[in-house]
Amino acid sequence: MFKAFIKKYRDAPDESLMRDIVRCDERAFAELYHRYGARMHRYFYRMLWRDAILAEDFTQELFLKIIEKPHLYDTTRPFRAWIYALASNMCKNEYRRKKPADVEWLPGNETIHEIRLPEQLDRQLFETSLREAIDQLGETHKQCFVLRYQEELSVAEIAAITLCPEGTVKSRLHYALQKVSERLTIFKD
Amino acid sequence: MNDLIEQLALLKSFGELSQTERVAVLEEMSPEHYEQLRAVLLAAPSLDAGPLPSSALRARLLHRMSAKTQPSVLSRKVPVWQAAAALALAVAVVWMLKVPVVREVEVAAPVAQTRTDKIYKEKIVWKERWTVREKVVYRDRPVVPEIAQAALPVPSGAPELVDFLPEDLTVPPAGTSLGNEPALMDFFVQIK
Repeated sequence: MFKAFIKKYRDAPDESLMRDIVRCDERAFAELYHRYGARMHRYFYRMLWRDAILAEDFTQELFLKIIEKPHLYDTTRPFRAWIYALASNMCKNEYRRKKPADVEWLPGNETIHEIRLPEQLDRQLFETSLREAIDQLGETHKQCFVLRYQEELSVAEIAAITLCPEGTVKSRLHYALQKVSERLTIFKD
Repeated sequence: MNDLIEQLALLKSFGELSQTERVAVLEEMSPEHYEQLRAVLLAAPSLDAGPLPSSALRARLLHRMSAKTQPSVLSRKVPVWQAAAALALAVAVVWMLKVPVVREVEVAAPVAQTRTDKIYKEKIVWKERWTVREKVVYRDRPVVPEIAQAALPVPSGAPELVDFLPEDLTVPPAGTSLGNEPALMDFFVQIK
């Protein structure tokens, strides 16, 4: 019976869990956190300059919103798009609060010009350059890139999150990929 | 760049593409650009995965959720029968522990008064046949005022004189002599 009880939550869709959370169901919240806790933390980490402490703070704030105001979620909408939209808005606010000049590059993120290209492509070097290329994207393009190629969401989901038409999302993705590729041209050979 | 190229880049390198696929790719970009795109698409998902959130965060959030779940004492719903039983019990306890109410009577402190009587002594002087009236002495005596007597506490339930009177006896007005009221005389004799 207990297994069936656990299975009920494990198999429940996100939207159903949110309906349970509105009714103050602790287990539903635990299951939802199990599904999205690490994922949202990783999203904040990528979006907020790889600051682990900031990412944890934002993850906590995000889930506190779900605890305190679960009724804000419209159960007719897909939950995944909703929670990413919520997280994206929090990131936007943080971007506005923190001017670009205030952002300091974290250790290990050397600029691409300082790197002496080895004869063979070094994976670590490539990743460092890719990371910086993503960081140099504008806010909206970075958001689309991270959601599509790092969080692996569909274009339709990104459109729902950013409240843009799918065409706009595709256009932003195309632009973002082009910019990233341009900055990585040193690895062409 | 269309979705097909994106899908192909995730699956195959340029060398692995079929002839048709190569044509489709070359319409959009160069082979180098395709390989670079492939490298980006393959590296991006694992890039900056970052650390996992701490277990303390999970504990904090679950604690917050459980605190919200537990209803407060005030908001707890009590069945009607329990409320009625508690009320009945309270009434019973109050009734059992009922303390007799003491009626407080305000007693005015007796006021000491002094009445002074004037006593005159008359002296007749026969020689000149005139009367001399002179004040000789003053006598003082304490007087308890009537109001103080009225304010004395009357024990509740104590029998009064009227209770002993026969029903057919009419009380004569004050000042009547007992000699003129034989029935009243008989009553007093009967009481002793």
